[in-house]
Amino acid sequence: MNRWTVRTCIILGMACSISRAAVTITASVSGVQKGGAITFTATTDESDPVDDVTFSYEGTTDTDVDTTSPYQVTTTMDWTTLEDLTVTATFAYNSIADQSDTVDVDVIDITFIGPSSPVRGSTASFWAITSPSGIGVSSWSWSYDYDAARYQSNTVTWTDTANSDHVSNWLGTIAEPGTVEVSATISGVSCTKNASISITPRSGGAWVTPVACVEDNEPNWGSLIDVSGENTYGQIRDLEGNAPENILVPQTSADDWSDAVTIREITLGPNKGLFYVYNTTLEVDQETVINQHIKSGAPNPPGASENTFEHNDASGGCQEGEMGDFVQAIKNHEYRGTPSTASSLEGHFGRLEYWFDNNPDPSVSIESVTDTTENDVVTAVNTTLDFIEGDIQFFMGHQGFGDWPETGPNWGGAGSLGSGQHSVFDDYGFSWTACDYGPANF
Amino acid sequence: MRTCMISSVLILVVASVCGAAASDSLEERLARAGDPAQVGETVESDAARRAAYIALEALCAMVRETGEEARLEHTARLVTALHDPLPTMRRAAARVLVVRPDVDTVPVLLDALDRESSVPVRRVLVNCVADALKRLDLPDHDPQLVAAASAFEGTIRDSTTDAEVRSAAMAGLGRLGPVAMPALLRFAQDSRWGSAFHSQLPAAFAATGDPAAVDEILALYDGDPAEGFRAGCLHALMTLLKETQPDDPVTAQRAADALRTIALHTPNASLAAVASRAYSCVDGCHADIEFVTFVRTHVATSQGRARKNYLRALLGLGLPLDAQTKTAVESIRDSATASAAERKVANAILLNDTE
Repeated sequence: MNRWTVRTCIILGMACSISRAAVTITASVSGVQKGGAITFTATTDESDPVDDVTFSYEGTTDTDVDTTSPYQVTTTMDWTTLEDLTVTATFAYNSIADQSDTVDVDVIDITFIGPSSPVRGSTASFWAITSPSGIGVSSWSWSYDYDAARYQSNTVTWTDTANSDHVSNWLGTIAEPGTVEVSATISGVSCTKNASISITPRSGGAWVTPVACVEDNEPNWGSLIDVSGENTYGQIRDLEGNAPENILVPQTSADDWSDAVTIREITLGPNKGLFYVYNTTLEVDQETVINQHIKSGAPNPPGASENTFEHNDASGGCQEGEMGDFVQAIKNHEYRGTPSTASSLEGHFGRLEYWFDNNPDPSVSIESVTDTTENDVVTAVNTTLDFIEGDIQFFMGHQGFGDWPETGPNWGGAGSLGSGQHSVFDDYGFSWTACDYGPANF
Repeated sequence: MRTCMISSVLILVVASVCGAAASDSLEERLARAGDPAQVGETVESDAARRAAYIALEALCAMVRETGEEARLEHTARLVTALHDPLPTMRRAAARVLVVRPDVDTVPVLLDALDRESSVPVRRVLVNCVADALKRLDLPDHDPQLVAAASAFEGTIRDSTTDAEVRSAAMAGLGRLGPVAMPALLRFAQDSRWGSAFHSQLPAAFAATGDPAAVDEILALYDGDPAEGFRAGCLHALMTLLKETQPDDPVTAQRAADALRTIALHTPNASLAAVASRAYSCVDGCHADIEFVTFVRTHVATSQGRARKNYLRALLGLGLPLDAQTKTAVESIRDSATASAAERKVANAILLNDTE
């Protein structure tokens, strides 16, 4: 009821119904979350024709005007938060003075504070505060939905009932992108806030794979060069394990990179229960090795009076005066081509470097791995690195690609460094062969 | 035109394997993979290889995440792709087939290996056979393992086999497990092959996880004083340790004892570091006070490659750092002269220590 009318009734002791016309405003709900809508309805029992009804709101100069009955507006309450926000309906009549009535509603919200794109592995702290501030809340409900479809149960929840406080804080290490949501009943109004959280990958430091190769590293490597054709002239391989198949290390056994990563469990916050790659020591640590029996100073093959180098380098030999180039060409083939150039496509190690220049770093590729058990994380890391290592290995190979032709500047036919055939010692016939052995096994 | 053929091959294989299960993001990646604009003029150009890589990555993800029925459908098409004229695609098909292998995968791959002419693809096929068998986790002397061991041995002995393929077959042989031990011993005891595979035999023996491997590796270690070779033997003992530690404690303990003795008593500083790094993989070694003290001391006093191995040992121990060791590790992390790998390991130790 119009308060002015009531007051008049009391002072004059008259029947209200005959004092003045009553105007009334009612709200569809007593409160709403900021941004929600309330329908306000105004009525009058005055017989004088109504020109219009103006609805005005505390905290804003905006108004709504309705000229036809029923006088009703639906307003989005999005300009402020306030308990007991007053809304006024003012009737303008054709002949008599304006009359008005008011109604109070609560406009409540949750102020959400938190990082939208935290770095993986950092502590993300999400805050929810009542707005207006200082309203006691008995229970805050938090949830975090992972974006990743692979998680069958991909929602983490937490209910904060501590202190009946107007503030709630959910924090913990974050690793997976998703949606964080908080809800609470504040002054009788159900409020919910959510935010999409992307994750910024870690970069630099641990997430860069060092790539190194020591050239011609083992002076005693290689078996006797003979007529079998099974001798390897040179090789590039993992330095410590002597394994040609291993490129990304530490790789304790084939395709097992568990020693290359530290896995951590997240025990608190939105990603509680997840395991992630905390850091990695992944590296490439290669060496090239050149067969000792093709080098100058090598021992003579059993039964021969000179070694392979001397025999071929001698006047009239298959590589007369050029055996040094031949050996150098083997070295360059294993390493960075001719001339020795980083990321050269003409050498195995150069091709490895080239791969790293043109592909995502393997350490970065495992940076985002998460799962619900430590074993699953290790398995995912192993699968990822196995795939990558296979690709590197294939690219380092020298056949089948147009970018490593057989006519290159190194060991690539006539005019190139180390071109031509050479002779090997036939330990069955105790004689040197004709110049019909060439660069095949390297 | 060859370029068009590459594109169409990629699109055909990728699209047929993809089916309706692909998510939007995968479709985007597949679209990139099949985009003619990204495929170069040369048959095996870098762009073609890159496109195949992207397609392969997407296919792997799909095969991993799809159900059994869809997987079987994919498998049939991938087997067909093993005969593709483009080596890149044959290699891609093999790699995807072993993501989720079944009992038919290995015979198919061995057949492909028998017919394959491209050296890099043969090498991939050898690795894929070993991968598939490892994932199938068959009993030690399953007929599939026996068949693979026989095929690998034959490949190695075939005089026309390229050195790279032969090397991959030797590594693959070890990965087959104890069933490979007789073949490995035959190679080791033959002077010609024993010499050719001298540096690869320790790793191959270790990969078998066979109890007899300890003695074979130690015999190789004792028989060749070359530092690089011996480092490989120690690395092999570490592999054996890892392979046997949960299920065969006796073999694991023998490997551990050998590594500990070498770590603490060899006069060769480099090998002591390698052995220390290997011994740090032993469960419970953090309680070995003498070893822990040894590692801490050498982190502070060693240099170069040896220091990197001691850092890795320290990382493996996983113990809280004392003040002196922490200072040493910090100084390595911040050193301009330390290698990038050393700094990376030092950083990992310090990060772990703050947890």
